[in-house]
Amino acid sequence: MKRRTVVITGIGTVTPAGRGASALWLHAFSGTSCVRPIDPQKYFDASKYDCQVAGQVPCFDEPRVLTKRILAQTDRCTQIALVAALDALDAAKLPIGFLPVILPERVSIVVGTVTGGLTFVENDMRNFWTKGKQGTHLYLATASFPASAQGYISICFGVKGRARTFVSERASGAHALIEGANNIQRGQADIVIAGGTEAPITPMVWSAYQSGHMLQRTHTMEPAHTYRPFDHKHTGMIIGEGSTFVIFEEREHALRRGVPILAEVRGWSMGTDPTPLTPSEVPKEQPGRWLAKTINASLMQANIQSDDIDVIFPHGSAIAEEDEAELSAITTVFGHDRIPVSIPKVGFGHLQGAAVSTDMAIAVQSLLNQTIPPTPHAELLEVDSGLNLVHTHAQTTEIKHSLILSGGLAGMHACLVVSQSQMVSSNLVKRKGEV
Amino acid sequence: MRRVVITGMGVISPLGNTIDAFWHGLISGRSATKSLNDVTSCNLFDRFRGEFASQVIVEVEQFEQVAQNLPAHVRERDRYVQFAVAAALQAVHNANLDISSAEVLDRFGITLATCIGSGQTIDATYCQATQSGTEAFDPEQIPADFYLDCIFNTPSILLAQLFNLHGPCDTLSTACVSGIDVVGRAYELIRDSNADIMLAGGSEAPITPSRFAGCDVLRCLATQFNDQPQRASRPFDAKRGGYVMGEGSGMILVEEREHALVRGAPIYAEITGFSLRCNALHMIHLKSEAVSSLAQTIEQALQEANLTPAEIDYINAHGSSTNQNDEFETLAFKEALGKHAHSIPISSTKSMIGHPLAASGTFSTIATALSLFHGKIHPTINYEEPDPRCDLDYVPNIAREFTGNNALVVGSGFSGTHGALVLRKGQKGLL
Repeated sequence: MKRRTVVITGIGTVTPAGRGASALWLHAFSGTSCVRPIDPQKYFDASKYDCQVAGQVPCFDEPRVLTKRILAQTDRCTQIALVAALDALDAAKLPIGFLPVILPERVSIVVGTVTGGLTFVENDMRNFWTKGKQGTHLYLATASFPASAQGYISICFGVKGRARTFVSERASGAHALIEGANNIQRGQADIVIAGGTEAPITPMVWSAYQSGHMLQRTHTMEPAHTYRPFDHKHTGMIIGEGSTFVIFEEREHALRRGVPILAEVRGWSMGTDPTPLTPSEVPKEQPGRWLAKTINASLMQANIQSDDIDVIFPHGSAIAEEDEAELSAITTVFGHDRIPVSIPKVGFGHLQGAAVSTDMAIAVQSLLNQTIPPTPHAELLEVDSGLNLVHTHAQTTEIKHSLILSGGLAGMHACLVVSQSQMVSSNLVKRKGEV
Repeated sequence: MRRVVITGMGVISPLGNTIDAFWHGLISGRSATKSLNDVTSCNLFDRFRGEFASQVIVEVEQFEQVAQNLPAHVRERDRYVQFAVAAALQAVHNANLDISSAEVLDRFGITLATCIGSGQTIDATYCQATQSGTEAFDPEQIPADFYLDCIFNTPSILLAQLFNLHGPCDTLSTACVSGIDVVGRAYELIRDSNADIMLAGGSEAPITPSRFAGCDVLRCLATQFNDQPQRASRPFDAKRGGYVMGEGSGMILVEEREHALVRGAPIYAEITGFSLRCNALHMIHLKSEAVSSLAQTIEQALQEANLTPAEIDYINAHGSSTNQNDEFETLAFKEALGKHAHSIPISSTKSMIGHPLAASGTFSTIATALSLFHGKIHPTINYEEPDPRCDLDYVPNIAREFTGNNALVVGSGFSGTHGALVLRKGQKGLL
């Protein structure tokens, strides 16, 4: 039987860099940062917190999906996701309801999120604890539980195939994308809306991240005090809100309906490097040992060698133990100072459940434009040796294959190989002028 | 094609904290439901006495004795995390799995599920940090490592660390089908050779004021038998009127069949089909147009198992005891199975243990695997008055001997999700 191939035919993204794949790419290309102090009017007064900056999504509205009713019933993470998913469908030329293009039963939805609708919970809890049951919102249960974005996307757009939400902390987005790719490859769907969403800028969630020592301590916008992945002074992430969905499609299906193929998802793999949750405990194994094996498994599935990878988009959390494991795995598989590494998320924040789908959107643009975006203010970093970090300016170079890495607490990790589609390569000259 | 079997199970359940106690409770048709006034796991309900329309719950009893054997860092976490770890340790023990073997650990993964996560800890922390909602949130007033209470995969990462495993480690939250979904996910990952062994299960401890209120305002909780709690969960009965919120954890060790045979593991059942769908109609209500969606979910699972409706010998239904679900499910069984629907015994585990959300599907799967293994099916209790809209054989009140080979486990959830799993009686020997 011929192996089914997974291609990408649409991208929808709402991030601190703005709405749309072009806005995201232009921002990544510029190498600047749009991380800002947390807006006290819009979010909360962060002056008591160790980390007072975040990537914040500019105002957005979309009357086609964010009706008054939906806005009243849902958490911000669902609202951002609905817009991103709608844009992804539009980009892939898929109508709401999917008919007559494809049976809705052949379409899946997969979502990754870390904290789900906790913003809604937090607002609602104030009403509940001060007013009792009559203060409880009728939609508390469905707005707050993690499968909310999945449910609203399926209902608003008519998805009737598989539906799954992953809550595997910061690896949830990668787990969702891998599940989506598996759905296509196994023949369980011909189209998958795959991505993640996060809206973590709320006092309780911020406290939680602080308690876990997950965030960079910073009160200022000085680049020197911000997100420093792989730097000796790394003390944690700068995070942000946002959502990115991509449309995965079975290659023959995409060719039959004549939509542009943006890229191909050629390999993926998941694994765990059992790592103590408390830094004081000594790891039982060499950090990153299994991540290296997971990367190799994804290269094997993609049927390529480590030398074939042209750019790596790492997890880059700037959490010391995670950086150490990731650096060790990258150098084990790819050698020292070789493959270019880019961390565009430094410029808008680690988007948690949406981080990997956003990296995938950038990786696709990077392939289409044959350009590697720089890591913002990377020239200030004292990066551990072994990493060829792209900094200052975007690099134009031949890119056929890119590798996206993802990780989370306790060493769970996942990776995906995104490659140029053969269809695209013949059209490349024509496309290169477009951004 | 790689075949996939169930080789170990563990429970922390309202009917008891061992597989034997759980099974004995199910077969004897014992209700674990009780009054909300008698809640012991959460001390935040006092100020809401009498406020909720539903006054019935189901709790896990005598968990402290189990919890004291858990590692200290697990005991510091929310009740649902402790349930999950305790049930998982049981499942691994029950499967006689040697988790010191590197060969095992390299191909061993985890897929768990929860809908509510650390609900009790979040409620308690919120009250503490805001003076019960009257002040701004004070970040100084939170427990250590509160991050582990706000994410939903703490059980899976703690277990990955305890076992030292290298396979995939993830957590799902597909509403109330999650418990079936994780077993289906484990089955697919093993079948596709992404792992040889997966721990799959759900855990939930949602009995906390804000979460109880969230369901109470939706009027989906049982309210008719507040003074007779043991009669409150009554799936398919004419006087049913909502589900009883429950808690607990069910864990299943899912394994590639040859791997299990070679190491001489017990084989409780084989997983032969799985399907997952959503109806795209409503977040909460099961509209009549969605009947076909559940029916197609069942048909797809049967097709994968290569079975006709005549070959299904038992159904463990979602049977939540809500007006809507039980009628809806009955219609879907008839649509998917035709005339055979009338001759297949159907029972609801929730009649005894209430609805533990993400854990419910794993409890149903465990009950079904045990039915195939022991040759007995548990009853649907509190079935007193037939409802003309629910006219199938629901195994009323008394357990039955059972000689069947194939069983179906069905679930539906918020967000319009449906799941179906097909289990076959375990076969010994290399075929």
